[in-house]
Amino acid sequence: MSKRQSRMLEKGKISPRQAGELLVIALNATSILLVPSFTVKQLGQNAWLAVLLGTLWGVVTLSLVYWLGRKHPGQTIFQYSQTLLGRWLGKAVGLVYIWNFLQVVAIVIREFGDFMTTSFMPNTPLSVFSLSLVFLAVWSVYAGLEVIARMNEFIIILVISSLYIILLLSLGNWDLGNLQPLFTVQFLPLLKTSLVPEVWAVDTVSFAVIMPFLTRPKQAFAVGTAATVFANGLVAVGILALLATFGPYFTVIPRFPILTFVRAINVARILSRFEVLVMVVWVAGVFIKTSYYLYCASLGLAQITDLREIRPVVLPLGIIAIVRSFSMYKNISELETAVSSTNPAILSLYFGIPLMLLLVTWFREKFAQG
Amino acid sequence: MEKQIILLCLLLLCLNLFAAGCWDHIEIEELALVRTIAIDYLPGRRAPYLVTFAISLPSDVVGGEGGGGGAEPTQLFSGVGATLNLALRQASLNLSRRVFLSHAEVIVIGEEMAKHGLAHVFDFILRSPQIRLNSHLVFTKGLAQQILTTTERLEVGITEEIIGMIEQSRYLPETEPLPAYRFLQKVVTPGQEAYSALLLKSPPLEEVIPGLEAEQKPGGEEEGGGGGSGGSGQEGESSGGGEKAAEVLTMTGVAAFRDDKLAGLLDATETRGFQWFLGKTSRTYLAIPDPEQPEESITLLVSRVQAKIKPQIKNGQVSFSVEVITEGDIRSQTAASKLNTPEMINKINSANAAVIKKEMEKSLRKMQQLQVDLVGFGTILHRHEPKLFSRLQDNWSEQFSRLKVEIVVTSDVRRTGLQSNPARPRP
Repeated sequence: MSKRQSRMLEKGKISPRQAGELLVIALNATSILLVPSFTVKQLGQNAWLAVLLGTLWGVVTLSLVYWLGRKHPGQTIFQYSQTLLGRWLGKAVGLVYIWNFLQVVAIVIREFGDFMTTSFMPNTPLSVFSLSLVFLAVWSVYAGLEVIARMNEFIIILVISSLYIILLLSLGNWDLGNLQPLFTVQFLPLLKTSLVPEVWAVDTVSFAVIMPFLTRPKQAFAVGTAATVFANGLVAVGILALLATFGPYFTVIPRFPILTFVRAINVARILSRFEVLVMVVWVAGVFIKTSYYLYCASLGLAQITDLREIRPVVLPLGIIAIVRSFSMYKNISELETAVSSTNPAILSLYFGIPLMLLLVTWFREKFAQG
Repeated sequence: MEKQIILLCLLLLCLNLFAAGCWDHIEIEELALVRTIAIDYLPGRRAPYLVTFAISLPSDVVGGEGGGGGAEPTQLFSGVGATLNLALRQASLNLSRRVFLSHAEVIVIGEEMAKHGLAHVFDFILRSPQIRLNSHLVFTKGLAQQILTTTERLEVGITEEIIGMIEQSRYLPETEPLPAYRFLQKVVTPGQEAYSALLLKSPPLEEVIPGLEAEQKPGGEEEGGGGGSGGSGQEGESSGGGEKAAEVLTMTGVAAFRDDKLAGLLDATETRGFQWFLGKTSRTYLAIPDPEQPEESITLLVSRVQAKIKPQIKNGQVSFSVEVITEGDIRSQTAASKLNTPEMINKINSANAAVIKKEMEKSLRKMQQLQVDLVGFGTILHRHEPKLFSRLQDNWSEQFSRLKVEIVVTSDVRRTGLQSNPARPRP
């Protein structure tokens, strides 16, 4: 029954490559702007190590949801949690994830708005950015996962090539001596920083939702791992470039180091002012990320309420996300603190619950055999 | 289908609303494009910050020399305030356009401001979304405002004149203007101190050329390693003019900072002296004594410089060894010696090495006396011995002033120019 249902809610199919591209954008859209600042604050010139370690945690999360997906083919996490834990407990777990996805949407909207008002348009109200972004996202969720994935196919070219152009042009400002001394960090602070959701590639958990819609679900793990390594690798290289340009002591001073970094580019007084590329990365990436997560939340809500269509819940969820984005944080300092820290709830969300579901699956199989 | 087309048209119309740029849109004709900001501190006042800025009028810049009686290409505005923002606001009262700082390429800072400490200036630069961190910081003696009132000589507008000098300084190790972010990086990084170029308005000659007495004629003999080849050339030109010498801007030497406060000024030779440590002295001219006739000089063009600084720790005592490898070409000589023999070139090499070493030692003494580690010995120690440095970090300036540095210079003269033998009358 549930198989039929998921097909009804999402008629489209995406290729494994498209899924990987979605994951890359979900990871890079926000992390490239936010991660360098707080990781360098906490770890100095070793910040990039945390990002590499975070990749590992991301792959761990991915492997958990991948095996869950393989054990329950054609089902999303909202469906197999109900099969495993019973109707009500399963729905509760589903709700937790829906709330989480919605939370991500809200945070991304707020970050987007705050970035735009702080760096480019100081007189424009925050709501202009939030509203336009969310209505665009709602519209693309109406169109479905396949459309979002196809749209992402050209947006990812914009985003990634912008990042490469920025890195290439900044080469003249690099001084690799700034990266020394290497490996002077203790393990515990490194571990703690790597567990911050932005560093830990937590977006891999979204594969628990989109895996049934892959044309070849078996490839999900390979593609997801490649995407995680690529995306976090790019962030690590970005941090290295920042450190090589500014050194660990100056990198922590600007609010958005990558923007300052791009503003410092000046090749022969001709090639300069590439802020617009940061805007491209940010606006295009954030749009896809918002759409993607709003889609995951909407699909989840439609599935646990046994709706026949996804449409009725999209706009209400979008509006909740907007309201939440305004009410969640009073000012940019609260937002910054929240984004740069971790807590046990996050650990259970991206590790505990999938592991528990996997164990239940395993026990059930044992039990059925025995 | 038709319905969709109508919807699309409506959507495109709606997009128009956003394309204009929402709340923050502003037409370029309404902007006053600030090109240079001069910041001064007037001690003892309630509103101590004096901001002066040079505004370029785009049409005049583009028009160039075409228009005869048009407005000056640069207009100056100034205001005072308790903070820089308030000073800018006060200046805005005199303007018919909105002040726009994104195109500022030079920030000139006055002597009192530098002595008072630059914390507020840094905050102002970093917090504003408009000011660009790759604009250059330069310092001056006295008021920064007077730099902007100088009449430009070669370029359209005083900003272009200063930017030209900044560009030109790449070939002149006698001065070193830094972009704001580099300067800030040096301020915040432990184990090094910040510096940036000194921009002087019509300085007396003896300030530009060390060792030159005031009554001596311009173009007189230079002493030791030979001083500011950058600024001094313009002097002679202007003194021949009329009764009133034209105003001249000279970029020479650097202002050295301890933390964010001005610690002292380094002249052209001293500046080149510490640039040797950083290997940034290629394309410099050096005057070295002729090995055969010590009162005559040979000019060398240094074409390549490599510097290696290594910390050495013995019984917990830190010292540094510096190895400088230079290559150069002979450019001229005042006598008519035969330079083109291997023996002679060896002699020139050792004389050259001695001159460079002397220059470096002199500069190092000056830095140690001012307690400013412009080279970044501390940072280098941090990279090699992080644990040791973390103990010394707190009073590094003092540690630096007692630091032992061993300097080894190797010189290699590669070529001697197009001339093979001296053109001297046969005996």
